[in-house]
Amino acid sequence: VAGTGSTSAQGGDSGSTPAAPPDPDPADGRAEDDGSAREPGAPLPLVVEAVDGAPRPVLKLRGDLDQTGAPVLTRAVDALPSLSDGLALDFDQVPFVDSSGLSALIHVIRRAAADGAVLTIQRPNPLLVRLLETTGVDVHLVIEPAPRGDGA
Amino acid sequence: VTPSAGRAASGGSGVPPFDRSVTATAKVLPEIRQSVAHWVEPLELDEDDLGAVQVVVSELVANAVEASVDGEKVSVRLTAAPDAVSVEVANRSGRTRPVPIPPMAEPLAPRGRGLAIVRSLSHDLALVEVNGHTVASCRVPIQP
Repeated sequence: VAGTGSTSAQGGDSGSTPAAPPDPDPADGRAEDDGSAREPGAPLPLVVEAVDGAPRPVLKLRGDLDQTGAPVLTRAVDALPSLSDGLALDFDQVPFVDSSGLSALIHVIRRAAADGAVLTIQRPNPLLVRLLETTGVDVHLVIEPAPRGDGA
Repeated sequence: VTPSAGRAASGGSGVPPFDRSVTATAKVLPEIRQSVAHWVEPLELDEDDLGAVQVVVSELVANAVEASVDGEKVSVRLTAAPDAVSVEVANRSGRTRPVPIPPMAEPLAPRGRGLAIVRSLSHDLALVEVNGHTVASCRVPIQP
C-alpha cells in the first residue's frame, strides 16, 4: 500500500488517496475525520501520511496504534528507503496505543538505530508517555511535546 | 432489578456492571474498547483514566484471546467504584494451577509487555484458575 515517495498507508479499505500528496493543512475540510467529531472510544483505523516540507522526515499518524494499526505503521516506515536523516512520528491524532503499538514503535526504533538515527515522537498523549516510561522504551527515543492548540 | 439492588451491584458508583461474553478473535478488541468507552461515560473519566481503563481491558482481552481456541468465549466484567474500575477477564483454560505473571520484557524486546503494562496501570493484578477458567483481575485507579 505504501509507496516509497509520498508514503501513505491505512488500515481500513476506503476513503484514502494514497497517491495524492499530503494535505498541507490536515484539519482543512476534514472536520468529520479529525478525531474530535467521532464518538469517544470509537475505533479509528490508523492512517500514516508523510508530511512535506519538514526539515526531516515526518510521518503523521491518525488513528489507533493497536493490533490493526501496528502493521500499518511498520509498513509505512519500511517503505522509507533510509532513516539516516532521522524520523519523527507525529502522534497528535493518535488517541489509543496498546502493547502491539509499542511493539511497532520498537520496530521503528531498531530500524532507525540500524541507520544511525534516533526516532522522535511528537505530541504523544499522556497515556502514551506513561506507557513509554513504564516499559523503559522512553530512553530509546526522543519525545517532543509540542504546544497544543496550534491549529493542527 | 430494583433501584436498591442496582446500587448494591454497582460498587457505589451508580453504574451497573459491564458484562460481556465475546468470541475469541482479535477482531473483538476494537469493539470491546468502544463498548467500554460507552460504559464508562457516566463516570466522566478524564482522558488519562479512560485511556488506562481501555488499555488494561484491551491487553487482558488480547491475552485471553491469544490463550483461547478459535470459537471459545472470553468474558469481560467491569465494576465501577468511586475510586477504581475493577476488571475481570476470563477464558477457558486447561490449566490447574496458578498462572505466574511474567516479568517485564527487556525494553526493546519485540513483544511480551502487555501484562507488565497492565500491572503498571492497575493494582492487585492476579491470574487465577477457577473452574477450568483463567481469570485475570485487577483494579484501575480513577480520579474520584
